[in-house]
Amino acid sequence: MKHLLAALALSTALTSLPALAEARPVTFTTQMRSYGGDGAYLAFYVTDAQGAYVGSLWMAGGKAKYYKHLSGWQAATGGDRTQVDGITGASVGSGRELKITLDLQDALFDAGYVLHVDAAVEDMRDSPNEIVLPLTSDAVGAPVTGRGYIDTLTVSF
Amino acid sequence: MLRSVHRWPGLVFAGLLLVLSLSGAMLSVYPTIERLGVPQAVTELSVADLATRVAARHPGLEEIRRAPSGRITAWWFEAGTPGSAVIDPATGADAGSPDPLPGELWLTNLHRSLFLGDTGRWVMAMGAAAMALLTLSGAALVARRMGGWRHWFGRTRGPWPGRVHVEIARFAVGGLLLSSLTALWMTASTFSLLPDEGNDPAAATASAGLAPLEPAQVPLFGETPVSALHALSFPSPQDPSDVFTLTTTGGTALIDPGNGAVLSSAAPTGWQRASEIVVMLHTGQGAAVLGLILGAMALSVPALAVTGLVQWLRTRGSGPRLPGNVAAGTAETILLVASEGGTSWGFARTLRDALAARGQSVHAAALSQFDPARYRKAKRVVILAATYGEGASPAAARGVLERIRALKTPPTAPLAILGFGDRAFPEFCAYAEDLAQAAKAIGWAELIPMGTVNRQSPQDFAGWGRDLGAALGLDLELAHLPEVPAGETLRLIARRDYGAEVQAPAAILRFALPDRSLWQRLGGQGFARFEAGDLLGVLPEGSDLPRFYSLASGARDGFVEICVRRQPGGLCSGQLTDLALGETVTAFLRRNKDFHAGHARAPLILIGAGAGIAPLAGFIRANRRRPMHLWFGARTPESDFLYQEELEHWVAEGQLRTLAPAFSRAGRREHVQDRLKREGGTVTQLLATGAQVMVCGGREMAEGVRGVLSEMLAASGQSLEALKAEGRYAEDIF
Amino acid sequence: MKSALSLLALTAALGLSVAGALTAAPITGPGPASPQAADPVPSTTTPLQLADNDHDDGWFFARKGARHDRHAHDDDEEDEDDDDYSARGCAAGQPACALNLNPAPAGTATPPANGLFAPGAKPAVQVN
Repeated sequence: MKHLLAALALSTALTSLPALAEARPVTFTTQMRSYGGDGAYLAFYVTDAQGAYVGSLWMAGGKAKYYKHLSGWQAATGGDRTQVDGITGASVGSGRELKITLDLQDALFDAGYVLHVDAAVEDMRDSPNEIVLPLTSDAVGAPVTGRGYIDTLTVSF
Repeated sequence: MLRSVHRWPGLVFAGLLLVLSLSGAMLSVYPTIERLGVPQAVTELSVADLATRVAARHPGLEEIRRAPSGRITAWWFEAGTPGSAVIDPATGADAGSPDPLPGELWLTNLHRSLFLGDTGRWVMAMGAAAMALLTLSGAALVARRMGGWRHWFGRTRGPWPGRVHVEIARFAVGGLLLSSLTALWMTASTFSLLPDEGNDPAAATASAGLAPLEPAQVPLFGETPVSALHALSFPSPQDPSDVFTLTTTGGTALIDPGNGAVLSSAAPTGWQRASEIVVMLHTGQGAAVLGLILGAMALSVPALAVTGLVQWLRTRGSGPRLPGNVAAGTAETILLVASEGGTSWGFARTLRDALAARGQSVHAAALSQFDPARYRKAKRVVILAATYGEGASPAAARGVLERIRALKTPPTAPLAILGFGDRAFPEFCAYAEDLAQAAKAIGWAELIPMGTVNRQSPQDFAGWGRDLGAALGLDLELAHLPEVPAGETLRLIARRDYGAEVQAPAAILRFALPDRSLWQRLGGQGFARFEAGDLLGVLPEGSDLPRFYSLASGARDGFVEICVRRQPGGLCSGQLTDLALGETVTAFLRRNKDFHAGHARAPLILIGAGAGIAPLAGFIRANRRRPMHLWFGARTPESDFLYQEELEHWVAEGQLRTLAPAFSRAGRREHVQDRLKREGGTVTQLLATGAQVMVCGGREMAEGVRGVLSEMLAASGQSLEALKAEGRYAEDIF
Repeated sequence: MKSALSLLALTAALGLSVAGALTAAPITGPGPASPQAADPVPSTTTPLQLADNDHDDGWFFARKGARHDRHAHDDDEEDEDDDDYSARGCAAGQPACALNLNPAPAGTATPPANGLFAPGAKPAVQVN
């Protein structure tokens, strides 16, 4: 239950600060490769520096029965669907670009947190940790390459 | 009810079902293409061997998957770039791109969701449900049409759209039902409506501090054959706690890369296994031959849609729409129609118009609306009742018999019944007879005795109309014209006369084949395509009613030939027998598929009398390889032995095996059925070898022949009905 | 009777395919992995919790006690997880959970209070 404690610690730390000054919209632009398959499921989630799960940012793909193929996210959450309530959208087709804009706490950056993206496509191999990106100020604006389905992921303010 | 359950989903979903079936048929080919196109693993190959071979070529190997087709795909990550390829399991070498075959993804998305996401999936599932409903209701309709489930595969009869529809449906019904039910299962699975998600192995981590093993060192990989492999994923080099995940037909196991031990496992549940089998059955992935069969059956859907639509349009065109109908409470004549195909409505309209023209007020309605309490001013009730299949009542009249039987007092207006049927069926006009009996049982007065109309014969109808008119004191001329095509002009080029000596003049008339347009030739329409046994509809001068004569020739003979016996006072037969060479008649062609000799090789027993020799002579003329045996009835050998010279010539040529004439006014003075009975041994022997029987002639002769044959068949434990059901007994009676 | 032949062909292909799928699973396999034989590096850290697996008869996939395996691991963690799951209504992957609902799409519910989102955050998404 380490991850719950971590999340709790983070949220108490954040809520003790004035919220307005500390939040900003962050855009995640994901360009998919032309991998020649059906729409990809993508799970965006955050762990701390030790790899303990903190929380989810986005889930591309609406059918919970396929989430077990996002094996990193599945292992981190135990497949808990409530973790992505209100932050779930459609799967992303081959060669398409997904742009998500989220109002995130400022304290997320430069605090040792790591963004993970898991990817999976019907009848193709699962790609957990397709992208592993430490959330630092340096990472902002620099495209990162994925291991399989994702061409580039860019985090920007 | 059953009919509407079949008709409306069919009409509403026709477009959707076309998309579903055509895309499905195209998709059905892919598993076979894939199966033939990929290198297959030898049976003994283990996952350990395969993984070792692939890992040797791709050190950054991440995952190996095996499709049900046997296609093996590997994914790796080397020098910062991902790669993948189809693998030849024999060598571990790359064997091509792992991309799906061209069009497969596009067709799959069209087939399952019309590119509309979840909404589209539900729409397509509705299409599948409609397909299932159509196959089940259609199967029940075929059973009803054929006279029961036992006769489900029997010979089809009736107008072509219905016949073709049934033939195709019987070919495809199994595949369409399987495809639609599996589709519904898959939709339910996709939307998590089935508990088929199965178990996942409990999460596990690798034991710390151990160097990862080579795949060959993991015992389970050595013991798992590649044929059972679904997927093997390798532990991530970045994550020291990551494990091997092996998924096989039997389940999923997490394996410690440090020591090769199985850390946790999960077997598929029964639901999961069932869903996997359903997917295999629907897609043909892993069952390529089945896929091809299902695809071929799906291809029948366009043909079913077209024939179904034509059937519906035909029925609708002759449906109960009679402008100027008098209300049930005020009409003097109540005209009730029980029609399955709707053709009897055409006759009803003719009758109603004729009565109305003579000042009668007529209320016409479907028999199902039978309600004697409403017929307050009625002076007579007329029922036109078609018989469906083997004696079943038409859908439009279900329950009416019971309602009549339940009446406490019979209606005061007397009843006239006209039955419509086909003498080719064993239960000719059975439903009309049932109605007559029910009416008699409750004491309902009879206006005129029950009449019958065989195969929509306008003559039968007109004859009954005269009887009805006589009973009503009206001069009732019922000229019903069931789809009379425009006639063509035929010129007489030869004639041979018989029977003058016995006061029964008859003639063989040969006409030149009319010129056929290219369009007719291509479409096989009109006189472009016909054979002996088809009917020539002759339109005599001074009448709109065609008279039908059996053809003694086919299009290949290059002429149109009929036999005509002059009827006393007969309009058409008079004109024909008076026709001089070079003169013309107007006529059209009507196919009569139930009375064709066909292409079988079994012996053919031909039985005819008088002008009934015509189609039989035509069969013999066209015969090249079949043993044919003719029993023919005439009066004397000198007067009316039609085709005598030709028949003797055909015997000499071997086209006719035996010629057995019977003369009623010469020699033994016997009828054809008498000679048939006398030579029963030969006939029985022929029947035992699978012979087919074709009878053409007058009603009395046909009844006699039926009696003789029934006796012979009964002696060997068979029946005429069984022979008919096998398509081995056909009649053409006039 | 031609149509009866098509039905026969279909039934035969169907029967063979289903029979093939049924006989193929579960694969006849070995007993459980024996780490001693496989492990080239002598190790004293063979996980104790595997003892249960090691002495189980037959092919592990065919065993009914897949749920049992879960108890083979750290009991404390397992119990904790169970509490955790029951609070959410079910454990992942259990058949009883197959009818579980999909997550609420964005816009129909607020993002989870996991501390990452600013209060009242409304995610915006666009696919090009």
